[in-house]
Amino acid sequence: MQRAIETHKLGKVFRSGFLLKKIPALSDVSLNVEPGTTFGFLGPNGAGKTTTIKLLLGLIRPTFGEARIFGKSVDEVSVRAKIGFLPERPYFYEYLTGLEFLHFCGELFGLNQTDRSRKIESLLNLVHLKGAEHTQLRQYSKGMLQRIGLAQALINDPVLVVLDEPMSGLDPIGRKQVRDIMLHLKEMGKTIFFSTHILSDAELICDQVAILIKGTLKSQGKLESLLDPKTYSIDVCLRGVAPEKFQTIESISNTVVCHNETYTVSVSDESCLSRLLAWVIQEKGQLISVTPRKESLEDMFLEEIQESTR
Amino acid sequence: MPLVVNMKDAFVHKMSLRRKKGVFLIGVVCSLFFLQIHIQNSLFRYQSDQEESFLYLPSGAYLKPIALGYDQVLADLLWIKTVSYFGGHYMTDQNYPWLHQMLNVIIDLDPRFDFPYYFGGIVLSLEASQIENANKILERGIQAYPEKWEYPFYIGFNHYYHEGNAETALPYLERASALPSAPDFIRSMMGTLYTKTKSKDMALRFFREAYQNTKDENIRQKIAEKIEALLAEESKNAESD
Amino acid sequence: MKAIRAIAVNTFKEAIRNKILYSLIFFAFIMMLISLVLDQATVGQRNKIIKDLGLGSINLFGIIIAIVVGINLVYQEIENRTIYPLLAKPVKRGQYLLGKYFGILLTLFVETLLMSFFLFLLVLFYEGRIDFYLLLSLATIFIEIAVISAVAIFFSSFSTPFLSGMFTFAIYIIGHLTEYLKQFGNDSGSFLLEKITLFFYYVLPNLERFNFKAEAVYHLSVENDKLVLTILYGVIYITTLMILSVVNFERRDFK
Ligand SMILES: Nc1ncnc2c1ncn2[C@@H]1O[C@H](COP(=O)(O)OP(=O)(O)OP(=O)(O)O)[C@@H](O)[C@H]1O
Ligand SMILES: [Mg+2]
Repeated sequence: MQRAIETHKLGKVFRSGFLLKKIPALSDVSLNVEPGTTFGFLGPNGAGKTTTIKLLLGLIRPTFGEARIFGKSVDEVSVRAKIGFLPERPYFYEYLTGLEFLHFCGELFGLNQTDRSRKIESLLNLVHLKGAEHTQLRQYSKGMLQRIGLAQALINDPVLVVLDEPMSGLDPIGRKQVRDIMLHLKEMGKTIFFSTHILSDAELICDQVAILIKGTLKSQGKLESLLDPKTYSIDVCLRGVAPEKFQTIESISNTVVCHNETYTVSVSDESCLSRLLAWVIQEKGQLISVTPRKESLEDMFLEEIQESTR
Repeated sequence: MPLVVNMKDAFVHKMSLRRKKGVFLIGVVCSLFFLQIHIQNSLFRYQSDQEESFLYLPSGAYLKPIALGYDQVLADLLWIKTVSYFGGHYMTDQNYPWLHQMLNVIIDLDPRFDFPYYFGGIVLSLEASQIENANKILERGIQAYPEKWEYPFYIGFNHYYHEGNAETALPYLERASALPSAPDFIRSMMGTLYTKTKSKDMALRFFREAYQNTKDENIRQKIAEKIEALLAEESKNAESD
Repeated sequence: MKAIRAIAVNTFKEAIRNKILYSLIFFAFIMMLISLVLDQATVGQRNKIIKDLGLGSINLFGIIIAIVVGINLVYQEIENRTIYPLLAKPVKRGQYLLGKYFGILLTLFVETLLMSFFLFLLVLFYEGRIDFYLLLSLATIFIEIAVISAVAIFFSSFSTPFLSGMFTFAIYIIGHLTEYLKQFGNDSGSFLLEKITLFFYYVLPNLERFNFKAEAVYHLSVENDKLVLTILYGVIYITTLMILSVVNFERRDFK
C-alpha cells in the first residue's frame, strides 16, 4: 500500500533580506506516515514544523530532497484533492460569511451546489458552528476560526488531513472540541498528520509521533515504543510534617515540593518508597497519595532538547 | 532501498519536464513579443499627420506628452481659464498680452477644438489689435478644418480692413469662396474689393456676417459697436456731401 | 475553469464589500459639479467639454482603481495568509492568478459601465440624444485599464505594494510617452540613445494607442483594421504579462 506521506532527506534553506542571507530551517527530514495513522509531529517553537508542512503542500519548494503524498510528488496539483489542510493560526477572507467561505472552498474542489450544501450542513454540525454560518468571518472568535478552518479542511472528504497546531490558542473547551473532532476523523479511518507542542493532547490521540528539533528529526515511531515502559519515579503526597524535619530524609529523596502545606516527595525506586513511608508514619504525618510515574512524552521531549543543546 | 532509486528517477524526469515547460514558455513569450512589435508597427501607419506636424511647436508640444492622454481635458481647462482671462482684462485694462499664447497651447493640445480659432481670429484682431497673431491662429484653423470657409475669409478681411492691403487679402477671399459651404456675399465682396480700395460697405457686410456667426455676448456687443460706428460715420459722410 | 471562476467571483465580492464602487459617487459628484459650473459660465461648447471631462475622469478613475486594487490583491493574500488554504487545494498557482486578474477586470468593468451610464445620461440631458461614438473611446479606455491591471499584477507577483505601485505608475506615465521618446531617440543622433528608446518603445505598453477620445468626441471615422489591431495589441500585451506573472508566481515561496 502507498504511504500517505513519505519524505526523503527533505531540506529547506530560506533566503531572506536584501543580501539573501541563508537561513537553514530544515535538513534531512525523512518521514514515513502509513495510511490510517494519527501522526503527531512534535517540536519546540522554531523547530521547522510549519516549514515541513508547507513543503508537503507545495506552498514552498524544497532546497533538498523530495516529498511524496500517496506516491505522487507534492508538485502535482491533483494530489491535493485528497488532502485537507488547516494552516497555523488560520485567517480567512474576513468579508465572507462562514457559509460563503465554505461554499467557495467547495467550488475550488469542483463540487456542485447540492453536494456542497449537503456537505456543509453536516460539517457545520460537526464543528459546532450551526447558527454562526451567516456571520462574517471578521466577527469570529479565535476558536470559531479554528473550527471553520477544520470545516474547510474537511469539505472534500480528504483521505489525509494535515493540521498545523490545531489546538494552539484555544481554551480547554475549545481544545476538547478539536480533539473530539480529530478522534472522530480517526474513527472514520482518515490519516491525520498534525503538528503540536501541546504534548498532553498528542499523548491522548497519537498512534505515532516524530520529534523535530532545530530542523532535524530526532526520533520517529510508535508512541509506546518510544517511551520507556518502566516506572521512572514515584510521587508521594503528604501533609502534617514540620518543614525542618525534611532534612532528615535527604538520603531518600532530594526533590521536595511544597504547595499549600502539602508536600510532594519524589523517590526513584521501591526501596526508597518503603523507607519514606516508614518515615511518614514515624513523624505522624498524613499520607494523601502515592503515584507511580512512567516516562511521559514531555520527559522525552525535554530530554531530546537537552541532548541537542548539549 | 528501492525507494531511493525510484525517487531519483522521478526527480530527473521532473527536471526534464520542467525544462521542457520552460523552453516552451520562452518560445510563447518571444513570439507574442514579436507579434506585438509587428502590430505596433502596423498601427504606426495610422498615425495622423496632424499630430506629427505639431511636434516641432514649442510650449504645447511639451504639454501634450505630459497630458498622458488627458490632453483634451487639459485643453478644456485652459479654455475656461482663457475665457476668464479675456473677461477679466476686458473689464479692466483691455490689454491681452498672453491671449494668443494661451490659444495656441489649447490648439496644440486639441487641434479639433474649433472655438479657439473663431475666438482668436475675431478677438485678437478686433479687440486686442494683434492682427498678425490672429492670422496665425486662423492659419492653423485652416490646417485643422480645411473645409471651413470662415477662417480664410477672416484672414482676408484682416489683411484688407486692418492693413488696407487688398492684394494680400484677395487670395484668401478667393480660397474661402471656392469652398462649397461659402456664402454668396464673399463673391460680391470680392467684386467691390477689386474696384474700390477701402470700402466701408464691405466692412459692414463682414461685421454683420460675423455678428450672426458669433454666440459669445461680449464679442457680439463689440461687433455691434463697430457696426454702429460705421453707420454713424457713413451717415456723417452722407450729410457732409 | 471552475476554480478560476470561483476565485474571480470571490475577488469581485471582496472589491464590492470593500466599498470600491463608492468611488462612483465621487465621479458622479465631479461630473455634476462640472456641468453646473459650465452652465453658469456659458463658455461655449459645453457638450464637448462634458464629454471630454467625462471620458477623462472615467479613464483616470479606472486607472487609479486598477493600480490600487491590482498591487494589493495578491500581496495582501500572502501577508494575511489567506492564500494558504487556497493553494493547498487542487488549484494551480496560474489558475489562482488568472482568477484574481479576471476578478479585478470584472470589478473594473462594472465600475466603468456604471460611470459610462452616468456620462450617457448627462450627455442625453444636455444634447437630447445618446452619443454612441463615446462607446469607441470607452471600450479602448477599458483596454488600457486592463493593461494597467496586468502590469500591477505582474509587479506584485514579485514585489511589495509600494514598489509595485511606483513601477506601475511609472509605466502608466512612460507608456503615454513612448512615441515621443522614440522620436527623441531618433532626433538625438546618438546610436545608443536611439536603441535604448527603441527598446522601451517596444517593451513598454504604448498606451497612447488606446486613446480614442478625440475620435469619439469629434465623431471622426476610425478604420476597422486600426480598431481590430488596437484590441489585438492590448490582448497580446496582457497575455504576455500574465504568462510572465504566472512564471514568477510559480517559483515563489510563501513565507
Ligand atoms: N520565510 C522565512 N524566511 C526566513 N526564515 C524562515 C521563514 N520561515 C521560517 N523561517 C525560519 O525557519 C525556522 C523554522 O520555522 P517554522 O515556522 O517551521 O517553525 P515551527 O516549528 O512551525 O515553530 P512554531 O511552533 O513556533 O510554529 C525558524 O527558525 C524560522 O525563523
Ligand atoms: Mg509553526
